[in-house]
Amino acid sequence: MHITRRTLLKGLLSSAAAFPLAQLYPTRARAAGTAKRLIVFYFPDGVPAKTDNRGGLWDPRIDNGKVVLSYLLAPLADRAKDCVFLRGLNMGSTDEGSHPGGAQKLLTGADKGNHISVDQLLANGVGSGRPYRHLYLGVASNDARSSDMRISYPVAGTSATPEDNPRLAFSRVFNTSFTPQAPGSIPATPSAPNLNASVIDTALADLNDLQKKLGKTDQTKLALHLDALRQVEKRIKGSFDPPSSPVPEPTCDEPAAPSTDDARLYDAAYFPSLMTASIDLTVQAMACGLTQVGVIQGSRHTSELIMSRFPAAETSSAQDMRSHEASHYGAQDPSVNPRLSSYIKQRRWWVSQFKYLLDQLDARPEGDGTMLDHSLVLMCTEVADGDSHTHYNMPFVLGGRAGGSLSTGRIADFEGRHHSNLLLSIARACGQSVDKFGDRSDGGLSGLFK
Amino acid sequence: MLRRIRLLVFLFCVTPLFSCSEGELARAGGKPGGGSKDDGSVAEAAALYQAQCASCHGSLGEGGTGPALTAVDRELEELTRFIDKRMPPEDPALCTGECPAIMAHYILEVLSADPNCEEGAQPGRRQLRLLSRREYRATLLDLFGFSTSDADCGKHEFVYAPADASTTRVHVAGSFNAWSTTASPLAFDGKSKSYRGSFSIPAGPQSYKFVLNGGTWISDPTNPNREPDGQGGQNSVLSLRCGEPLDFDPTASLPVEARPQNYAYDNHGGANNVSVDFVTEALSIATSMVDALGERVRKLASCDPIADTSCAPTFVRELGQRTFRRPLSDAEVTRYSALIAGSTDRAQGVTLALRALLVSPHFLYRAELGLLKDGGYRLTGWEVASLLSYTLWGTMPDAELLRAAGAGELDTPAGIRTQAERLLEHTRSREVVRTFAAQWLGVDNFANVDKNPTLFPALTAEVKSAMAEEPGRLVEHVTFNGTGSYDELVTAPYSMLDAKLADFYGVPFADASGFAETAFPEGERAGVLGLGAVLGRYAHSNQTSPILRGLFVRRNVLCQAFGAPPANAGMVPEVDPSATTRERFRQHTADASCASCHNYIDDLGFGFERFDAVGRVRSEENGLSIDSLGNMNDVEGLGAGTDAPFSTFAGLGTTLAQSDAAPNCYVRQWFRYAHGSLERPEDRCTIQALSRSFEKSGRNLKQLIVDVVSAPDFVTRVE
Repeated sequence: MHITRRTLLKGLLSSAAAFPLAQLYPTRARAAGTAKRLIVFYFPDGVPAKTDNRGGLWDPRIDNGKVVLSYLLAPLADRAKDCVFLRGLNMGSTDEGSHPGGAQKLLTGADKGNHISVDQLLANGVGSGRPYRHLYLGVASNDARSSDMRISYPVAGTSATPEDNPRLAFSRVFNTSFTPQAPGSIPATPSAPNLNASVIDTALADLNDLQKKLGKTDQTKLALHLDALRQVEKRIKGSFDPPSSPVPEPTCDEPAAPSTDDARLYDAAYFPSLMTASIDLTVQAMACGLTQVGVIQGSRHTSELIMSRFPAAETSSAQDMRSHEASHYGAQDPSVNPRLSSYIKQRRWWVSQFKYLLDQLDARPEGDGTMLDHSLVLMCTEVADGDSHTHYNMPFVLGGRAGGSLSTGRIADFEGRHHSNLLLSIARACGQSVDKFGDRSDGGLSGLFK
Repeated sequence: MLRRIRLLVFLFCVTPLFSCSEGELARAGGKPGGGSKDDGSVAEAAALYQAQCASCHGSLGEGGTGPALTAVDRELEELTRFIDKRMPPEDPALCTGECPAIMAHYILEVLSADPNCEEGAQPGRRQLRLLSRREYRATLLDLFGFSTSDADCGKHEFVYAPADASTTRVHVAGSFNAWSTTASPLAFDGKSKSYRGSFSIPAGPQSYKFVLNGGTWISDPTNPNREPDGQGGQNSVLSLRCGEPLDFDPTASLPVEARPQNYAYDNHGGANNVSVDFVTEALSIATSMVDALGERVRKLASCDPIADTSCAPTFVRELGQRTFRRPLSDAEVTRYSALIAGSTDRAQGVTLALRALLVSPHFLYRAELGLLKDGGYRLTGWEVASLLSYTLWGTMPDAELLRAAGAGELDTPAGIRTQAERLLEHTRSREVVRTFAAQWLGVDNFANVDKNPTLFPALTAEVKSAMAEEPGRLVEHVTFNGTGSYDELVTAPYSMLDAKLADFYGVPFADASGFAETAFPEGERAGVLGLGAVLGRYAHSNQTSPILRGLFVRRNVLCQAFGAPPANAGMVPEVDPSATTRERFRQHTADASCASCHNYIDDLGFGFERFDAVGRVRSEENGLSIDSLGNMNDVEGLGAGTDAPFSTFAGLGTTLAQSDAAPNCYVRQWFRYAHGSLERPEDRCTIQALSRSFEKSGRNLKQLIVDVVSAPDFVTRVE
C-alpha cells in the first residue's frame, strides 16, 4: 500500500464529484493562544425563554460590571467567571419551530445537517494527530433509535453514532494495554501491532477493489470506511502527529474504567450516574492526550427522559415528568404551573452537569494553569424556548479560557447574527484555519475571541 | 414520453450533485430512459421528495395529511411558484432555488403521470448494505459452526420410503437411543408416501439403522455414510453439525444501527456507515472469534492449513467463498494466501488470514451492485443468494443457496422462487418474521420503555420481557401455524402468551410450558392491536395516550402519512383524577386548528381507552366509567369521509381486515424491510402488483414474502 490517504481519497472524489467530503480534510494550522481542545455539552428541549421572559428566566445580566446569573443558570455559581454567556445568536428562520431542524443545524450551521459539524471538522483537522480523533458519547441518547436525533455530522447529511455505554467507550479510547505516560507524550501501545496492521492493509486493498466497481454509487460510504480504516491504522502503528503546543500535556492518571451497569443504560433513575461517567471519561481521555474533540449528548431532542426519576435531585418527584413534556409549559408563572416549575428544575440540573464538567477540567493542572484554561467548552441545546421551539437568541454558553484567547466572566451580545458564525469562531479559536462555515457564516463573531 | 425526456434532461442539469457538460447533456437528451445516469437523476429528485414531501403526501404520493399528488393538473410554472411560496408548509425556505422546479417536474411528470406498469418498475440504486448487528452475529455463528441457541440444533428428520406395502412399522435405532427398537417410531406420511420422524441427536458421529416391522434391520438407503456394524452389515452414520456453544455475544459492542425517520427496520441500506468505532470493534470481533475457534481452525476447510504447507490457497478459496458469499478472484486468493505464506509461524498466518477475511469490506457489506445488463444492472447469482438469505434468514447463505448461485439457478425468477420457498420452510425464517414484526410495530425496544413502578408494580421484568416477545410470537404463529392470512393478524381472538403474561392480562392459561396460543374473552383483543407491548409502547409512563395509539394505527398499520406535529404539540394534558383521559384529551377536536389532523387521530385512539398504560383491560379510570367508543374513520385514506365506529377491538380489526389499505400497508412494510429503504413513488407498479397477488392468494402472509423477493425489480438496480 504505497498510496496515501490523500491520494486515495482524491481518487474517490474525482469520480464522485461529491462535495461534502471535500471538507473532511481541512488544512491544519495551530497558533499559540488557541484552545487545545473542544468539548460540546448538549442537553435537549431548550430552556424557558419566551421573548416576554427575556432576561427573566435564563439570560444573566450585568450589575455593577459583574455578571449576575439568572435562577436557571445559578448552579454555575462560582463558575460564571469562567464562562461567556452568549446572547442574540439565531439559527436562522429556516425550519423554525422544530426540534429535529434545530438538532440538525446546531453544530453544522446548515439546514438539514447539510454540512460537516464543527466538532468533526476539528477532529479531522487540528485534532487528527490524536489517537482517538473524535469522542462522541451519548447519555441514553439512542433510546428512540432514530438517527435524525444526533448532532454530530462527519459528512454533510450523515450523522455519527454516539456511544451510550461508557464502558465500551472506555475500552475503545484506552485500549487494554494502555499504560500511563509521562506528561507530554502520547500513549499508544497497541497489542500485536503487526497483526492488526496487515489485517488493515488487506482491508484497504479490498476496499480499493470495491471502489473501482462502484461508479458513483455509495462513494460517501466508502470514503467514510476508508477514513475509519486509516484512523485505526494510525493508531495501531502509533504513528501520531500530535500538535506541537507550547503548553505541556496535562497529567494523565491511571485510567479507571467506568463501573457503570450495562443493564441500566436506559433507566431514568440511573441517568445521573451515566452522565457523571461520561464527563469523567471525556476529561480523562483529554488529560491523557488521546483526543482533543469530545461531544457529550445528554438524551436527545423531544426527550422522553423521566427526569423526575433522578434520585435525590431537585427534579425528583413521585409524579413522572419527562423532559419534552415539561418543556411545553405554556403559561408563564411557575407558581401556578407545575410543568414550568419542573422544566426550570430540569434545566438547572443540566446546568449543574455543565458546571461539573468545568470543575473536572479545572481540577487538573496543565501548563501554568489548569485544563480549563486551555479548553473551550460549548453548552448548547437545539431550540431556544422549549414551548415555542424558537431558534433565535439561542442559549449558548462558552466555558474555559481557550488558551488565553477567551476573556471570560462576561455577557456577549451578537444581536441577530447567525450561529454558524459562532461555529466558525470556535473552529478558529481551536486553531483551525477556515473562512466560512455552514450556510450563513459571514466572517465569524468579532470580539468574542482575542 | 416527451415530457419525461424533458424532465430527465432538466434534472440532470439542475441537480447540483452532478456536473453538467454539453457532452453529457447530449447523451442524456439523445438516449432517454435507458441510461443509468438519467435514472440516477430521477433518483435524486425522488430523494428530495422523500426528504421534504413524503411525510405529508405519502411515500408513494398517495396523500396523507397533505393531498395526493398522483393526479395534479396544473401548469408547470404555476406549480413551481406555488411550491416555492408555500411548500413545505412548515417552512417554505427549505425548498428554494432549483428545488421548487425539480419538485414541480417530478410531481407532473412522474407522480401524476400514469405509471406504465408494462415497462416494469424503476429499480432501486446499486448499494452496499452494511450488516446489521443481528445479521453480523448470525453470520459469524454460521460461518464457524457456533450456536448460541439450541433451537433446532440436534434435531434430525429421518425419512424412509418403503419399496412396497409390506412395511407397516418403522423405527430408528441407534447410538443416540441406546439402540432401542421401540423408542423412536417414524410415522407414515401419505403425501410423500414415506415414514418420517424428527429426533434430537447429540453432536458428533452417531450410528443408526432402521428397524422394519419390529425385526428387520437395514441401513438408511438415502445416507451414503456408513461403517461396518461388526456383524457383517453396515450402520448408517450421521454427524450433525451441531454448533459448539459460544459463550459470548460477539457483536454486543458494535455501534447501534442508524434508522432514518419513518424507517422502522434495523437494516437500512443507505444510512449505515463504517465508523472508527465500527472498525475497532470489527477487529476485536475478528480476534475473539478466531480465538474461540481454537484448534477447530484446522477443520474449516478440506485441508489442514497449519499442518499442510500447500493448503493455503485451498483454505483461502473455501473459507473466502463462505465469508464473502461469492468465489474469490485469483488476486484475492493471492492476497490472503500471502498472509499465511508470509508468516514464519503458520498458525499465526492462518489466524491472520481469517481475521483479515472478517474485517474485509466484502464480508461487512452485502453488495447489491450487479453487472451491466440492458442499460441497468442485474444482481449476480451470488448477490441474489445473499439478498435472499439475509432477507429470509437474517444470515449468510447456506451451502444449498451457494450451490444454486454457482449453478446459475438464481438467474431466473423461478429459481429464486424455488429457493425462497425452501428458505421459508426453515425455522430460521420464523426468527426473521419475529424480528420483522417487532420492528414493524415499533416495539423492538420495549425493554427500554419506562413505566412508573409505583403505578404499575405488577409489570415485573419477567412480564415486560414476555410482552416484548409476544408480538413476534403472534405474527410468527399466524404466518406459519394459523390461517396464514393477513386478516388473522388484525382479528385473532387469541395471542401467544406464557403463564406470567396470561396472569398479568388476567386470562386463564392452558397448562403448557413457554408460549402457547391463549384465547381472550370474546371481542376483548384482536391480533396485533391488542398486544400489551403495542398498548404499552404507545402510552406514557403514567397514563395512556390516545394520540400515540391513534397514530400507531395510522402510521404502522395503514401506512398513512402524517406530517410533523406543529410547534405546540407535546402538550399532554396533566394527569387529573377528576376526569377521564378522553375528557382531558378531547380539546383537540374542539379546536378547529387542531382538528384537521386530530380528527384522524383522537377518535381512533379513544377506542383504545379500555386498556391502561401497560396494556391491561380496565373498566374504569379513577372510579369514572370509560367511554371507549372509537372511530376508524377514513380507513382507506385521509379525507375519504368514511366512518367506522367500533366499541371493541373485534370491530376495529374487522374494519381493518375489510379494508384495502391495511393489507396494502403490510405489503409496503415487507417491501421496506426487504429493500432496505422506504418505497418510492417509482415503486408504485411493484407495490400494486404485489398487492394484487396478495389479494389473489387470500392475503397469504408466506406467499407475500415469496412474492416480494421474487419480484423482477428485487434483483435489478440502477447507478
